[in-house]
Amino acid sequence: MEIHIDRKTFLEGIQQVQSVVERKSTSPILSHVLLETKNTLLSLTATDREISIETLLPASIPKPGSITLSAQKLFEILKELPESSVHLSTQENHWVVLKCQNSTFRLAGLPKIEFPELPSVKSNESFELEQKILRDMIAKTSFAISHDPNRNALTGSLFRTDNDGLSMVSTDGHRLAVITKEIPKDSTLKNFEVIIPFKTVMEVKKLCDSSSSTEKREEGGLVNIGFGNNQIIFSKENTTLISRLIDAQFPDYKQVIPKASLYHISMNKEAFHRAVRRVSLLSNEKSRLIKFTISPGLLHLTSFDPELGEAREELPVEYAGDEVVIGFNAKYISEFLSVVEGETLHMEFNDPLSPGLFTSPEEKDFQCVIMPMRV
Amino acid sequence: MWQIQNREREEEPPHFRISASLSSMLRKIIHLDMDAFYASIEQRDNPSLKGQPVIVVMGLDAPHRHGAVATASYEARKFGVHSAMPLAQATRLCPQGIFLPVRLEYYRQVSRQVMEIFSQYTSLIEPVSIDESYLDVTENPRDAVDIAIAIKQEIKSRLNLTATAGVGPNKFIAKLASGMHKPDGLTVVRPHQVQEFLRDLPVESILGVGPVTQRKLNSLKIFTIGQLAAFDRTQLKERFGKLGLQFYDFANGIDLRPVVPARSHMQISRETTLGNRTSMDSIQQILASLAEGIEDHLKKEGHCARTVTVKVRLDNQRQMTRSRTVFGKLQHKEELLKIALPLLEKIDLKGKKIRRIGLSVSNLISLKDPYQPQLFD
Repeated sequence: MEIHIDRKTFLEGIQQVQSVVERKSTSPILSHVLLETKNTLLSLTATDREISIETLLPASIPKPGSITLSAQKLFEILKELPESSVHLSTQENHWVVLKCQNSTFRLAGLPKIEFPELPSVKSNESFELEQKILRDMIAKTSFAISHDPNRNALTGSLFRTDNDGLSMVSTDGHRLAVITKEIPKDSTLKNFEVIIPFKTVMEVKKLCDSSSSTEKREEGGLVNIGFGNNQIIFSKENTTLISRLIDAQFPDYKQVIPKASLYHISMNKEAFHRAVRRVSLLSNEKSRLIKFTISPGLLHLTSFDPELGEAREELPVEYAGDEVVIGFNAKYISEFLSVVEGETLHMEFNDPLSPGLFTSPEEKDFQCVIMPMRV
Repeated sequence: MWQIQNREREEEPPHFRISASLSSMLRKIIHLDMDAFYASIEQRDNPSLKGQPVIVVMGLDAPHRHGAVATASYEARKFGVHSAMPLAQATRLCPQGIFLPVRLEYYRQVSRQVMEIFSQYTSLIEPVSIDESYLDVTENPRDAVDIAIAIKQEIKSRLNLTATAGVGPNKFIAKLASGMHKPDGLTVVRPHQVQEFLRDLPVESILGVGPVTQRKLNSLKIFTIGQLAAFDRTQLKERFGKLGLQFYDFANGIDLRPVVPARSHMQISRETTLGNRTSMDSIQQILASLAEGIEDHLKKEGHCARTVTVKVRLDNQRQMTRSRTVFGKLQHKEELLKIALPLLEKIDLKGKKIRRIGLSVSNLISLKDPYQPQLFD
């Protein structure tokens, strides 16, 4: 194999696929990226056997072929090279010589034959979604994904359609984030329900972030999403990502979203967030408990740690009911407040032991449910 | 020195409270050790065993006499029998011994009664084992020696058992003190007596000094705690690492380890024997009444459980248990039964009758601690 490729294009391509590569892998081939010529394009492929990503780059190809190289080393080299054309050629025993201006690197490669076969997915169903929307859905829900391997179903985001629209839902069992987008009326999309693993979710977000040109990013390109054989495929421009899905039953999340609430409190979101961040500084490191005492017009936030001390703060709120005390994990509230848009925050619940619903009137399609702590 | 009390402690900032409670000179610690606990209980319950060499054995029914001595009465100890000795050896040393099987569940009950007595004097009780505890009575305005005497008397009058107590300014001294005079002893080491008390004791009395360390210390011409206390601290650190520093502190009567109260009973259980013709329906009712007992106990202690275990003994003497741990917090009878009944159904009875049924909860959490419940069941 022999290729000439622009250094910047090559570097962006490697950056696109590199994070899929398993860093802790015991198998060296999984730390490699596959370089393969496809007509006039250079294909870069990385896999951790669960997620595979392939991106196609324009290159000049005097001699077609394939080779695999350490993704990390290739990335480090390309990062340091000057803005110029890179010449790469394979030699005997899978050695690769990489030249750029006055620099020459001789790298130990591995043959393509050792690289895992990518799953061949016959997509039965596919649809297109604006990458801007997909990115937003992920950014607003991924913080709630569980990292507890004992709760398999919760270690990914639920991605589904029903009469309400297209939803993405994440929960760790203590809090839940759900965002629902309208599906165009003329859509022929059939209802589906899949759980996408956390790592894939983050890769897809990255895929949505990157674009070969700034204009495309701004005008909002489309991502094609397809399913088949317990796999999901995301493709955008020259990049395709295939991932295994989580084969488990996601809990019935709709039942924990309060439908009607007795207590309703509205407040300035930014002021509330700052108060939560301050008071949480003295919350117990493990429980992260903040106590909310809500009385007409006023919210008192307090925290206490037997070894650190205590903090309190008050905040004007819109509330006219009886005084009520409810406790929440500060981290859960703060993580939601970091992603929700709008100036006003609405909090509602039925009693201090039942799930609390947090919403913003300016972003009606996004809800966060947090289970209060018993205090 | 013993009477020092700081009644304003509650008002102090928390960090001060912690450092004050760690200051060894301020504390009053009692180490209580029940005398030949298992054997004494057997002798108490069966007066014909009084004065006899009673040897309580773990695995008495084990084939080839593979059991081991759990506790030997003081009469049996005269023959050289001691705990953890193989049964065969104990039999050789004391052929006239009265060998009894352990009744652990029963001894635990007695242990709980002992704890109840302790709890009248302090809430800072650290059980080391079923028959040994540390008590921090610093906050009790009474003199520590009075408390130790009162506890010993109450154990004698209420439970008809004897305990040996050691009183000192920290755990290390209290434990060494209780080891001085056994059984039914009381040794008091007041703070100003610590140095004198330790001076002539052999180094191997120090916690962590085993035969190997003892040999190394002896080679440095250190035989007594007094000699160890006078040794160069840096050299001890070089030779024994962190442990060397601990030896040095102990030798100088310094031990900052706090008395850490046990969180709670590790487990709460109820069980009962069933009649010959108990139907499955009435078994479920019996389970419900066991659950009620557990609910009462949990409520009294302000606890919730996360694990439920159902235990059955069949008429062929086989015992089977099934457990489940939930993410939530269980306390009410209904919550317990919701877990327990399916567990009972999971036990394959193969046409056998249930002789005995037990319900227990473990993985206990205090209701006082803030707790994050789950969104989903």
